[in-house]
Amino acid sequence: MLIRLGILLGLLMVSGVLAAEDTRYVQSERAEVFETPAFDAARVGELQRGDPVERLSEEGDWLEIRAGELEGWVSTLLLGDSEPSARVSPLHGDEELEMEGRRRASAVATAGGVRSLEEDEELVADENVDVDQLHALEAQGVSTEEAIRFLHERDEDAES
Amino acid sequence: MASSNLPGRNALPVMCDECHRLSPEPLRQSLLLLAVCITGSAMLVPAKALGDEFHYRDILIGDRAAGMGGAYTAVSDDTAGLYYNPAGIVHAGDRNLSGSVNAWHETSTTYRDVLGDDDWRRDSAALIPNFFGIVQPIERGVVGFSFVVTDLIREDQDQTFTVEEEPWEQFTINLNDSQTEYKIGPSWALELTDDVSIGGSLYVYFREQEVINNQLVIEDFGNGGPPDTEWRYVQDQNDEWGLRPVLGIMWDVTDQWAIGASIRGTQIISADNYNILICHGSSATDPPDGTREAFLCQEGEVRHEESESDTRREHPWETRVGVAWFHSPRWMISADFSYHTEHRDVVRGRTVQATWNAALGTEYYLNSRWALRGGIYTNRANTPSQVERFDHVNYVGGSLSLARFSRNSSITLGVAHSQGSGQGQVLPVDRPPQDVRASSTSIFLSSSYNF
Amino acid sequence: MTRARGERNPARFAGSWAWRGLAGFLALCLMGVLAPAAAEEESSPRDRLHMLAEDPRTEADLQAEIRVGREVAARILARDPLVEDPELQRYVNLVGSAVAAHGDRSELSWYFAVTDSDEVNAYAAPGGYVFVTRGALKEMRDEAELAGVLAHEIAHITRRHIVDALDIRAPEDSPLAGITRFFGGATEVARVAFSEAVDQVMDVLFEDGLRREDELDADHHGLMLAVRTGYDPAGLPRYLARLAEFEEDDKDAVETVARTHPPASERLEALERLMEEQGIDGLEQPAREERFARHVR
Repeated sequence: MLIRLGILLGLLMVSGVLAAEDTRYVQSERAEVFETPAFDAARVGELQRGDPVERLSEEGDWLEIRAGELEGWVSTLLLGDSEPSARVSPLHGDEELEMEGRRRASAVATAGGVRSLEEDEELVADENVDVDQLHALEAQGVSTEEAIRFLHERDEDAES
Repeated sequence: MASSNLPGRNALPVMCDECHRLSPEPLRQSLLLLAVCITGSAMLVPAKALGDEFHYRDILIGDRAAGMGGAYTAVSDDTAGLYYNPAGIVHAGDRNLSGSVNAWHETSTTYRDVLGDDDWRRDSAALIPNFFGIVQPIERGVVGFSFVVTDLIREDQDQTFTVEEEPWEQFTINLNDSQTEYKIGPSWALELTDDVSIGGSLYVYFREQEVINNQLVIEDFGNGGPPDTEWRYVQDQNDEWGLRPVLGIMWDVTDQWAIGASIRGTQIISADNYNILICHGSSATDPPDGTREAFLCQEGEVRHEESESDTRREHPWETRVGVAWFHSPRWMISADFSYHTEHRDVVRGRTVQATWNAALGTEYYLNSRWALRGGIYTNRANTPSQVERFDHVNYVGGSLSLARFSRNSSITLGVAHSQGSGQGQVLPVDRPPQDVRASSTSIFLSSSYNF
Repeated sequence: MTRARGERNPARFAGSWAWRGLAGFLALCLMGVLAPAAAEEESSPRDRLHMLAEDPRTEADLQAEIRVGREVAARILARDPLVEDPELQRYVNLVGSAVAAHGDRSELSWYFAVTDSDEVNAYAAPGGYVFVTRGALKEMRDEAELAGVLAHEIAHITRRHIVDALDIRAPEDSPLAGITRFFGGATEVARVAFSEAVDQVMDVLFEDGLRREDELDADHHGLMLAVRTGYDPAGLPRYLARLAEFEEDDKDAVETVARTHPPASERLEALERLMEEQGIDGLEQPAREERFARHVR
C-alpha cells in the first residue's frame, strides 16, 4: 500500500517539475528584437503585444528568444510570464473605451453614470479628495496611438 | 449489530495440542471468561480501555504536522506550533493565521483466538474536530489560542453469539466506550534574539470517559422450563480536568537548521470517578470447576455495588526535542523524539511505565500550489511488556498528506495509519496472554487561512 | 500457543510494515534531494514555496490597485491641483503615454499630471497615475529629462513597488476563502483595509518613501524604459545631477524628494554603472530639447 503510494507520489513530483514551461509574452505595444543584447545592436525583427516567445537564454536585462523563425534578443522589461490582459480602466466599460479609442471626456461622463457613481459619491464626501480635479486629470489622458504618433513626429531637433 | 452464529461445539475444529483448551464447554467458557474480564468486578479489575490510556500518540495533531507524522517540534511555525512548541509561532511572521482540522478516526483491536478459535475484535470510529488554532502578532511577540482534541474514542459494540446445540445458549455483549480528551488555551511567544525564541501555552485539560457494558447470557435446556438468564451491567466513569502548561524554546542554529524543545506536564485539579455494578447470577455461569472464583454472581444472587471517589491521578511529564532541516523553500525534513516519564495512576491502580516516541517527517512542494507531506512515527505503550492486565502494543505508523494552496488559504487532505501487535489479557490472569493486533487510521481534512 | 501455528507472526508483521514505511519515507526524501533547488530569492529559510511564489494577479487585484490609486490621485490633487494649462498637460501626457506604451503594463490606462507646486518632485500612485510638479518641470532642460523622470515613476507602477509593499490586492474569492471569510466576518475588514491602504500610500509618497532598493530599481528600469522609447539615456542622470546640486544648496525645494529617496548622488552613481554595463553610455538618441522648450515655458 505504502509502496504504491510512494510510486504515485513520485509520479506526481516528476510531473510537477516537468510542467514548468518557459514561454513569455510580449507586454509592450511593440518589442524590437536585436541581434545581440544591446539597444544599439542590429535590429532583426519586431514583435507585437501578446506574441509568445520561447526563452533560450538570459543575460542581464536581456533575454534570448525564439518566436517562429525569428531569433534574437529582447529586453526583459517587455516580457511577462502571462499573456497581457485587456486594458482595464478605472472607469466603467473597458472594452467600450477601447473601441472608442479612449476618448476620455465622454467616457468620464458615462462613467459617472454607470459604475463610478457610487464610488465617486463616497469620494465627494471626503474633504481630503478632489473629485473634480480627478475627473479633469482623467479627461486629459491621451491614447497610445496618439502618443506613439507624437513620439515619432519629425522635429527640427529630432536628429540632434 | 454484529451477530455471529458459531458452530456447535462438536463442529469446532479440534487440534491435538489444543485439546486441553477445548474442555467440555469451550465456547461457552471462553465467552464467559471474556465477559467477566472485560467487565471486571467493580473495585478490583478496571474496565479495559481501548488503549488510549496506554499511548500518547493516538491522534496526530495539526495540519502540516499531522502529514509529517507529528515531527513538528522544530518547525512549529504555524497554528499547530501552539501545541507542539509554542516558541515556534514567532516564525509565523506578520501573518494572522487560523487553522482547523477535522479527522475521521478509526481504531481496531483484535484479540486473537479468544473465543475458541475465533478472534474478539473491538472497533471505534468517530469524526473528530482535531484542532483549531489562531495566531496573531502583537506589539511584543505573538499570541495564539488553540483547541486540541488529543484523543477521542467512540466504541459501540453490540454482539450476539449463539450456540445452536442443546442446551441452546445465547451471549450478548453491548459495550459502549466513550472517551474524549481535549485541551484549550492561550499561548504567547517572544523572540529573545534573532535566533532564539521562547513560548508557552497554558492549556486547560479535560478528560471524560464513560464505559458501559451490558451482558446477557441466556441458556435454554429445552425441557419446557424457563430459560436460565444471567445479566450484568457495569458502568465506569472517570472525569477529570486540570492545567497543562507547555513551555517551549526554539533555536535557529544556522540558516537551514533549527532545534526545538518543549516540556509539558499536567496538574489535575478535580476528578470524579464513579463505578456501578449490578448483576443477577444464574446456574448458567457457575464456575465449570471449583478452581475459579472470578465470576461475579452466584446462582440466584443479585449484587449491586456503587462507588465514587475524587481521587486525582498523576500524569507524566513529557519532553519533546526536535530538529528540522530547511533544505530549500521546496523541501524540508524534521525529526522529533519525545520521552514520557513514569508515574502512578491510582485510579487504574497501575504504575504507568516511562516510554518514548519518535517521528520523522518531510514536506515537499511539487510546485507553488501543491505540497506533499509524509512521515513515520511510533506510538509506544506505557504498559509493562510482561503483560499482566493491560494490553502492551507498540504501534508504528505512517502519514501522507497533500496540500493545495491558494492565495490566502490552503486545504489539506491526509491519512495517517498506524498498527502494531503485542499482547493483552482479556481472559483471566491464569491464562497465557493473548496475541493482540491493533490498528488505527485517521483521514483528515484541514484548512488554514492567513489574513 | 497461537504463535506456534506460525501463520501470523506478530513481530514479523509489525517489522515488515515498519520497513515498508521507512522505505517509502526514504524514497520521499530522495526525491527531495534530486529535485532542483529552484532559484529562490532572499528570504527566511523557513519560508515555504507557496509563500515565495509569484502570485498570478487577477482581474480583481488590478481593479483593487486602480481603485486605491485613483483615490490617492484624488487626494494628491486636493493638496496640489492641476496646473491650468491644457497645452502643457497634453504635452506631458503625450510624452508619458509614449514611454508607458514601451513598458509591460499595457492593461493600464495612464494619466499624467503637472501639479501646481513649487516643490521639486514627481510621484506615482498605483494603477497608472503619475504626477510631476511645476517646480520639477522648471528644472528640466529637455524632453529626455522629462521622459526619464516620468519613466522612473512609470517603473514604480509597472514594477508594482507600492502594490507589493502594501500588499494591495483584492480579497480572495475562492470558495474556501469565501467560507472562511463568512465565518470570520472579513467583509468589513476588507472595507477598512481599503481606506487604510489609501492612507498608507499617501504616507509612502510624502513621508516614509519606498525601500531604497525599490527606488534604485525604478531608476534602473526607468532608464532602460526611456532608452527603449528612443530617448537620450542621459536624461534621467542629467536631471538627478541637478537634484544633487539642490540637495547641497536649496534643501527646502527638494525636501520631500530627499526624505523619500536615496541621495541623488548615490542614484547617479548607480545609473552610471548601469549605463556602462548595458553599453548604452555612448548611445546617441535624441533629447528633443527644442520641442520641450516649445511646450514648457
